[in-house]
Amino acid sequence: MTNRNMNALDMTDVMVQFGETVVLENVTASLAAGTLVGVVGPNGAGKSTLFNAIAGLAHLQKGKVLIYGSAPDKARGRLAYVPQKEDINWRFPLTAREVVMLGRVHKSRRLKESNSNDRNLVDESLHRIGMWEKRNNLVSELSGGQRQRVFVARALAQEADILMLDEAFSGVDFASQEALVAALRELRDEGKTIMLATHDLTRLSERFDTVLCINRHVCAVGPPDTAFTPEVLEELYGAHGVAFAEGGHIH
Amino acid sequence: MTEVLDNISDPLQYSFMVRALVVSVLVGVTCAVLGSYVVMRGLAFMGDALAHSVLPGVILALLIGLSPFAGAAAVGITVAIGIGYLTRRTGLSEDTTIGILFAGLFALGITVLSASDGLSVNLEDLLLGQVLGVSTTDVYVTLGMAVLVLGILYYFHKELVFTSFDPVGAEVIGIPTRFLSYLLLVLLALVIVIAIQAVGLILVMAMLVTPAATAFLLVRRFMPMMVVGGALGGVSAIVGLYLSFYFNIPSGAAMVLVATSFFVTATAMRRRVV
Repeated sequence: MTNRNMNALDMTDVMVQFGETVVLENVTASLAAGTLVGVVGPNGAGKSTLFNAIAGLAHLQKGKVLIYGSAPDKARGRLAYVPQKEDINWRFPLTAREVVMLGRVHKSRRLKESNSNDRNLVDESLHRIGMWEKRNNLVSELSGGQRQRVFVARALAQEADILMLDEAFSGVDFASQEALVAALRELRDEGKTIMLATHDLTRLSERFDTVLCINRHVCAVGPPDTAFTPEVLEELYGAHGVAFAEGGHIH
Repeated sequence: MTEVLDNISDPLQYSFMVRALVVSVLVGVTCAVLGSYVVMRGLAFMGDALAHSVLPGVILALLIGLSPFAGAAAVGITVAIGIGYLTRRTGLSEDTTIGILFAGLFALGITVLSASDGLSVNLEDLLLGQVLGVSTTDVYVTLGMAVLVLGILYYFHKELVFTSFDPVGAEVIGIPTRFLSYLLLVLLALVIVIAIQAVGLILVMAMLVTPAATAFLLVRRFMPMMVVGGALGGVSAIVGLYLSFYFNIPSGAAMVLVATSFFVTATAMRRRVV
């Protein structure tokens, strides 16, 4: 289904503005299909806005976004979004399985109960991501890492080709972060393109194929080992970031 | 035993009681089912505000000879959309714009009412409800509204659940989230209009929030919550109406007190469990 020779994502000179404030400008980057991408930048760097722009939710002042060569609104079902935890209404009482079932909403027929194909896909996704045992737990009862995995399972059930995870490591312990990355790597191997936004610089080169460093514009894009020059780090995080990197956390 | 049955059947000899019972149950059930969204999306204040805002609509409609339903629905829909517009336009928080609009419209309603003599509407009936006075037409209109609201909730169920839980994810997948949140407010306005007959606009909020919140304490999942909430709303309406008949207390207040007692009981039970 996924054409590996085509870029999953092409952004050309993207600019997004909220009122007078320019949130993103000159964003030009292409991501090959089947890559695991870390979208890195400090808080407020525009990572969420970048995701919104890719999803077709933010108005582009300038530039364009192509998903597998077509406009975002033509590619709606191919994109799956794992929101940051602040954007979810955790009070809403849904079980893990019900959340994964939401991934089928756009494909299932109105007024029809989900069909056996939907249910199989949902159950398979829960198994694959290791959440089958917890399927009847309310998502509000799950740990941060488990919640993230439920949303990844939802993306699988959606049969999405591109996954965007916003601040997926926040509130998730180290072991669960590693487990999440391992699961994402498996999906990457099947040709899915995964973008994970984080302000956490821990183990970037072990975790990602490519890093896209954002601070209002693209500071760098490429393999983590080469993309993170001291200049890029300083641009992203100031002098503090450079010291942090030299402390050995990045390589 | 026969005495109990007599107590239940006696009031039903009066056709006004039968009509009141039908309207109250429809209101109790519909309010609670829609109320599940009100509780889960944090719209309680919005519901209360809409209830107060429809006052000028009801009065103006009566003045120009339209059905109060039409006037209230029109104002309710305008307010629902107006709040969204003002919040975006002014950058004020939503509870502020809700507060401004709701108090302003309520004041307008009272002013228009006091300025127009010869209008056969009683402010007290609007504020506190007068379910014993509903006509056969009111019964059919209430039934129609209840079927319409519940039908729309059923039709958009999956999408409404998705946007209520994860609005951003829903939008990414292509669900019209803004349309759905306006739709919910419009349904809220319609339900408020029928609920005003039963409990009056001051107590509408209780019928929206209390049975649904009680259900939230009793069951874990959303669908059962809607069902149990609807049942509690219906039972509160029936028991409240009978209490009102036998003890000569205002029907709206009686229904709300019954619903509140269920909530208190459920809270106490839950505390023991946890």
